Amino acid sequence: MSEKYLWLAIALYAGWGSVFALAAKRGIRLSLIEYFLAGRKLHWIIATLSYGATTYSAFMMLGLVGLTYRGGVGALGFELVYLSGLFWAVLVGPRFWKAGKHYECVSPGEILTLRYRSRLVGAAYTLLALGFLIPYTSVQLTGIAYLLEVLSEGRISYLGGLALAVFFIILWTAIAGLRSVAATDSLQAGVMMASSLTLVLFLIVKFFGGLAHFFHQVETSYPQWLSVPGNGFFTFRMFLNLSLPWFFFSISNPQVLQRLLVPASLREMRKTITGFLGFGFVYTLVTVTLGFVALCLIPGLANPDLATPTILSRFSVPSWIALFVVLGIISAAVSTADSIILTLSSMFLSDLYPKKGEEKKRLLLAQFIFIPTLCVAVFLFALGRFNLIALLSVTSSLGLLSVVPTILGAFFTRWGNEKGALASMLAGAFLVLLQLAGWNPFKGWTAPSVLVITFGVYALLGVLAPSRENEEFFATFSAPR
Amino acid sequence: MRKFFVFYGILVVLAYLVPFTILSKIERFTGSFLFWNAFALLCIFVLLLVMRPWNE
Repeated sequence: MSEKYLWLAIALYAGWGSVFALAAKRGIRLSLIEYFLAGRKLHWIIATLSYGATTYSAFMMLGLVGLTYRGGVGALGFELVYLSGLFWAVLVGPRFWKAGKHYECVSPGEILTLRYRSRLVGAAYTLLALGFLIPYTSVQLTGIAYLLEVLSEGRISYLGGLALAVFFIILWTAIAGLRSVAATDSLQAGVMMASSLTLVLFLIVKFFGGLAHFFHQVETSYPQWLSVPGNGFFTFRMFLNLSLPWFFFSISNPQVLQRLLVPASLREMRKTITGFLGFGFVYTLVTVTLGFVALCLIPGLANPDLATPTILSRFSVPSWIALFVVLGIISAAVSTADSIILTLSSMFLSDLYPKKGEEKKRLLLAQFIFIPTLCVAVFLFALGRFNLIALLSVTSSLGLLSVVPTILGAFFTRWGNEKGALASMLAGAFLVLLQLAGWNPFKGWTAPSVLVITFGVYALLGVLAPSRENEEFFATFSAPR
Repeated sequence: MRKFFVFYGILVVLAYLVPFTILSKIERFTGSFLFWNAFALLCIFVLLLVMRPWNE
C-alpha cells in the first residue's frame, strides 16, 4: 500500500477527530463530573456509539477474524455469549446509576468504597484495573503499530506507529475528557462499522459472486469450521475459558461499567443499551463473516491474526476501501485505549489519590499528570513488542473476573463485606497469575476456577465475619426494609 | 421479573450445551451458526422486555 495514501488517511483521521473533540469542548465549564462523565448529559446516540467503540477494540478486526479463521463458528458463539452478558449491565445498571448519582461518584471504585465503607476496596479495585488494563491497552497500540508497519512495508516504523497512537489518545482525552472521547468515539464507531461492512460486501460480491455462493463454498470446503469442536480448536474447555470472562465484561471492566454512570436518566440508559445491543450484534456478524471469507481466500496462514492485513495487501481491494478499513482498525484501537486511559485516570484520582484540594486543581492533575503518565506506561509496555496479543487480552479479562463477586455483592447482598471483597479480589488475581505462570491444579479450567473461588471466598468471609449492614447505601436504590 | 431472569439463565446454559452436543455433527450454516444467532436475538428481546419499565 502506498505510504502517501496511508499518511493522507492518517492526516484526515487526525483532522476530523480533532475537530470533533474541539467541538465537544465548546461552552462547557469543566468539573470532575463534566470531565469524566460528560456532565451526565451525553445524547443517547453518542453514548451508544461510544459504548460500542469502547467495547470493541482492534481485537475484532484482527483477533476475532483470526479466531474464526482458526476455529470457525465457535468464535461467533464466544462473541455472542459476550453480547448476552449485557444482562449484567441490565441487572446492576439501575442500582449502580442511582447510587452513583446520589453520592455524585465519578468512578466505579468510589461506589465500592462507599458500599463497603473502605477506601481499601476502591483502591484494590483500582490497582487490579491498572495491573490488568495497562497490558490490554498496550495491545491496542501494538495492533496499530504492527498494522502500519506491515501495510507501509516498514516505511512507517513500529515506534512511529506507537507514537502516533499515543499522540491521538493524549490529545483527544485531554481536550474535554469524556465529551471529546465520546465525540471521537461515535465517529470512530461509524468508521469501524461502515469500513468492515464495505470490505465484507466487496469481497463476497467480487470473489464469491454473492452470499449464497459464499455459504456454499464454506459448507463444501470447510464443513468442520461450521460446528464445535469441529476442527478441534474450540473444545468445550477452550470455549468456556474464553467466553466466561467476557460474559461478565460489562461489569468487570471499569471503562464500560463507568459508562453506566453517564446517562441522565434510566430511560436514556435503556436507549443506550438497546442501541449497543443492535450495534454489537451486526458488528459481530460482519467480523465473523470476514473470518470465513479470509479462510476461503487465503488458506494456510501461519498467523491467522494477520488475515485482515493480508487480504488488504494481497488482493485487489480498491485503495479507498483498504484505507477505510485501516482507519476502522485504528479507530477501534484508539477508541478503546482512550476510554480506558480516561477511566483509569478517574479511578486514580478518586480511589488512590488523597481526596483533598480544590476540584479544579485535581482536574488539572488528571489532565496533565495522570493521563500522560498512564499513556507513557502503556507506551513503554508496548515497546516490549510482546507478540502476545491473544494472551494479554485473555489475561486482562481473566484478571478482571476477580472483581465480579465484589461488584455483584455490593448491590445484591447485604452481608457482603470489606474483608470478603478484598480477599476475593486478591485471591482471584493471585490465582490468575499463578495459573499463567504454569501452576495448573485445575487442569486448564482457568476461568471457572477463578469464578468459583472468588465467589466462594466472598461468601465465606461475608458469612463468617459479619459486619454492620450499610443501610444508607441500600436506601439509595431500594425501599427501606 | 424473576421469570425473565430464569428464562435468560436457561438460554445461556443452552448456548453452551446445544452446539457441543445436539448440533456438533451438523456442519452447515443452519447448525450452530444459526443457533447462536437465534440465541443472541432472543437474549436481546428478553433484555428489551426487562428494560421496558425504565421510564424515569
